[in-house]
Amino acid sequence: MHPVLLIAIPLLVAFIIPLFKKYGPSIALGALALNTGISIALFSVVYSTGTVHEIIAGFAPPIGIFLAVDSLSALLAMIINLFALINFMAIGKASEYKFSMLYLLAVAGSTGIVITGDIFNMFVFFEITAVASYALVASRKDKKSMEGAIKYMILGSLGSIFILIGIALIYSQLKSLNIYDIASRISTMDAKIKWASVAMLLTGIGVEAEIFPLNGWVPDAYQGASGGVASLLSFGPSKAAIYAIARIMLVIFPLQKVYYLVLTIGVITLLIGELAALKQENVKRMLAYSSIGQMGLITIAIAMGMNEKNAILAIFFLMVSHASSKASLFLLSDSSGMGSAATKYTGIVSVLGIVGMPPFAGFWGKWYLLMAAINGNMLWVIVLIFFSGIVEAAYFARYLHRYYGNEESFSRLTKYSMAVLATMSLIFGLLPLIYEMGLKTLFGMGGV
Amino acid sequence: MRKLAGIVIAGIFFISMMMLFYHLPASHDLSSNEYYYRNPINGSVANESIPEHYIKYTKNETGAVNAVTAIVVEYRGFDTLGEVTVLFTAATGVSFLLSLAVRGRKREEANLILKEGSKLVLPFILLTGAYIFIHGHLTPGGGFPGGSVVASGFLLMMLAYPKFFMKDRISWFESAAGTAFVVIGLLGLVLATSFLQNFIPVGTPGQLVSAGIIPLIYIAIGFKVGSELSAIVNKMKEVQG
Amino acid sequence: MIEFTIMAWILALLAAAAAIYAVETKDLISSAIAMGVASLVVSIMFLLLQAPDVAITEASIGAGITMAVFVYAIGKTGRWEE
Repeated sequence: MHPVLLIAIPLLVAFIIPLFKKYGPSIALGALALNTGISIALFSVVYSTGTVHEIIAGFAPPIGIFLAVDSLSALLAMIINLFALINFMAIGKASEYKFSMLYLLAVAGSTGIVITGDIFNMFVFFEITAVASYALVASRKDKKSMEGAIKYMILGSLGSIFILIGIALIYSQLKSLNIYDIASRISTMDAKIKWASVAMLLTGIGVEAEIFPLNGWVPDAYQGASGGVASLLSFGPSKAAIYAIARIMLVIFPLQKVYYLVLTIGVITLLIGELAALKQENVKRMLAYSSIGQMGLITIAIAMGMNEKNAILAIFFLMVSHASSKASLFLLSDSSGMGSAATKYTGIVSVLGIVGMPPFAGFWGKWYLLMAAINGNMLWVIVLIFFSGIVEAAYFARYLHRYYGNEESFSRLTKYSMAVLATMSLIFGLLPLIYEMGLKTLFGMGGV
Repeated sequence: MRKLAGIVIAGIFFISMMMLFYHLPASHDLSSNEYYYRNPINGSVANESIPEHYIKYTKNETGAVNAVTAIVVEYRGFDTLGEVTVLFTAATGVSFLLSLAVRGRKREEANLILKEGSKLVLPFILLTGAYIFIHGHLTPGGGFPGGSVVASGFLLMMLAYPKFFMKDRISWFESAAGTAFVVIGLLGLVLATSFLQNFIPVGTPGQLVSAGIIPLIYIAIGFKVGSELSAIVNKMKEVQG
Repeated sequence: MIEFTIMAWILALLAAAAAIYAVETKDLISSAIAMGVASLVVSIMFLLLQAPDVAITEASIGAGITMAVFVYAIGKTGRWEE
């Protein structure tokens, strides 16, 4: 099994597309389909045998780069590629060939962040993802989307600098860039520099991961972007970034103080996102703030994952649930209505999924988070989860009430694509895949 | 008021960064055992640090005399592929968003000295750029510096001749060079054992034809960086105001 | 060693001054040129730190191409900051 193909194929195809301009979207679709196949195969290999390593350039890991695919990254790689394929079917056909190139690069970058085991390599993929996303957000080329893209770009490039400084600080102390090598020697690091690098990495990645207080770009970028691009952002770059936080915080810095820091950030992000979503009139802005809230919930799960195994299962489920429901809701938000059977189905199923009705993945996410909170005697987290659930239910009920039954103008393919995306949450909620995988291998070597 | 707040925030950041850098050790003893690395796959601990490994074994393992190049293209070649892709993404994004190019607008002619002078120095700039990226494994430099020198040569031509226009054919170079990079990587996967691994005999270190795939990759990067940067500048110049 | 330290301080102050000027001035063309100056100074710093390859890149990209891109962009929009 060669996980590196997940990155090599889209890059190769993105490089080739300018030679075959007319067939650009079709070639890109083919590459995404191939990638989806590979990622499903990778998922099944990780499911049956555990963490997959791939050495790059033939040098043993800390000397060279290596890819480390643990269960969560295999799952996310599959989700990103599969959802990208379905989403691209819905929106890609009519697009310019350059749009399909950027789309492929964003997908390749997100996949790279998820599967790499080297912190600098992760940074490089962050750059690819971010630069491609800036252009994609602006792809409608009107004033609103340019505004969103510029805000995103300024914050995103500042964030990249912070990630780079954080990595440089770690390298200055340990002379290594390999995540697991760093993790095994982190205790020899000077405490002040360790703290500075935690702060820098969290700040830098936090911009992409939409956590407070770095998410000023989120509403504008999502509002300016077309539905398909907003959908890509919600299941691709943002999921990859929050996964990067999980990998860095849980593998490199599983310290008590980091736990409090991440937990606080998560709680503030959750509250701000959900309460702001309640006030929004524009659908895309509402969905964007709701995404921020969900990111806060995942961040809480990451923080609690340092002590509780159940919270790690919650990370898996919350990511799948949010990716599936938001991807379909953003596609749906391009037109102000749910007229036909397929769109009505999409709307209801995604809302049920995100609010967390059993047996959707979102339910299991909140369930395991509750279990972790009960185990850890954290009453206020339980209160918080219920409170956010009620707020979510309130604004999604209003959303359904407002748009249910109105006229809409989607092509048949788009409608079916979003229906399939919404159903994913149900499928992953019903299958025991995640539960079994989550218990098996987490974050590769040494566990958490 | 906002300005004051900005200055205060910048000042706090500056002071904390200075304190941090002051705190960093000034010199490192790379052979000290706190830097000994640990292989994450089998858990074995080496008795050297990673920079030491690069200094000691680069010549034998890669055949490159220039250790920086060996690290950039061989040990961390995957990062370099990523960096090239970042640039490619940026160039694609620029041309995707600025697709309103108009040609043949009236522009002022540059003066005679600039025109003739740039014609005179262009071949030398291109030659220097090509030298830098072809000799990347022997002397300091490589694909990125070489490519950017080439692009600055074309920039000079654009400044001197307002009508100088690079055809869309320049994107063929971008595509071909990028494809070549990935294909070399995939050949490594097929002919050797892993992506981007060297599959050509390394030859005698120090000679022009040596170091396996390093010169090939650096030539591809040189072409790619050169054509991409020129394409970005060209696009900026041609777009409607 | 002391020469290096003096040189490094001079260059650092120059780069910082150029960067601050680039932010503060209302004339965007001067701002772009100041950015170019800052890049040039930084590239000399790279050369002093024995990284000639980075110095070449920084000089041609920072001081050459980026500045040209900025100047073209300013030409398409407006020269003065409001």
